[in-house]
Amino acid sequence: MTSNQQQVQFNGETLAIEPSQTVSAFLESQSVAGRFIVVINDEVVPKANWDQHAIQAGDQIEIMSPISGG
Amino acid sequence: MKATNWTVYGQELGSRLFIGTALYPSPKVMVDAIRASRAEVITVSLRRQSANQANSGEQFWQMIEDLNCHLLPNTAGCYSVKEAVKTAHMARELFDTDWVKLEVMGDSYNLQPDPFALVEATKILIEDGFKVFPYTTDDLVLCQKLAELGCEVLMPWGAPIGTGQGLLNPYALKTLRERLPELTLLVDAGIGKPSDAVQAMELGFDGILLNTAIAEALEPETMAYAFADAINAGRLAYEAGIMPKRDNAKPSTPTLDQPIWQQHG
Repeated sequence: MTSNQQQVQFNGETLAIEPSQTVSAFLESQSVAGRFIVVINDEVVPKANWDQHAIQAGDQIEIMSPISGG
Repeated sequence: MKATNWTVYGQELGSRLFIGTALYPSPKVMVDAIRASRAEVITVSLRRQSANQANSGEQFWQMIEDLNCHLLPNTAGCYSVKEAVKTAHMARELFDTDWVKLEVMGDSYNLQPDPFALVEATKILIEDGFKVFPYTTDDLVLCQKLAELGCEVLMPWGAPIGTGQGLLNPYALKTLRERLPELTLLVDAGIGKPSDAVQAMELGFDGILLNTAIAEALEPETMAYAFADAINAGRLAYEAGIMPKRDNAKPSTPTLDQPIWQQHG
């Protein structure tokens, strides 16, 4: 981790990322693709806000995907 | 002959079977079974990706998209109002539907719904604009309360999830049908074999939601055909009007003009 990086939790694991990264940039850097939603600190971040929403140090970022269900 | 179409929250449907997408031995078996079932609504769920399973939901998503069915996301695994409401909101965003199969469990041993949390979560989700399909026990007062809150559809259990025990309390289910005639009622959970589904449909239930009985059959695709036919048969019987039971025998062959030696008083 370089001096200006910030730590976040991503899918339960600690990760160091560049500061003020938008959700869109973060998803691209992590190669997240397909059908999914982004949940940060227990709140869904709508897709329309991905380009504006800046990730903060300490954020808990979760990617939720479809699975089978009964 | 096919039973009449029906409507669920304004959506007209032909099939009266909702089918789950879990527990199949392989994705191909799941797809074949769902197609054989002729179901138009499938249940799905969501989960957090683990760090080493990035994009793991994509293959599943492609398969269910190809099935071209209506999606009914569930809140499986939730034991509190907060968890269930949060999961419902995530599901709405992920699956782009306001339908939600609301599960709020109260007991981890028999997966019995928590009636108090279910009512509270239902109230919140209806206010948030959801079309709620509550997975509930067969308690009349609870179901009346859910209906008062605005549920157009209720899904009482036949037996605990995955047990295949059939309708453990037909009296309670019959009572629900009689006392809530305007509601759409599906039996959800506990169905083990096609005759269980027939029994529910003959009671006047509008549909059946099941998963394990098909997914864990030796031949899921064949079992899906069996359930589709059984549910249709049960509904046709209900629509045709089932004769009342009698205590005394009544001859089906006319007795008028029988020879005198065959007349027995």
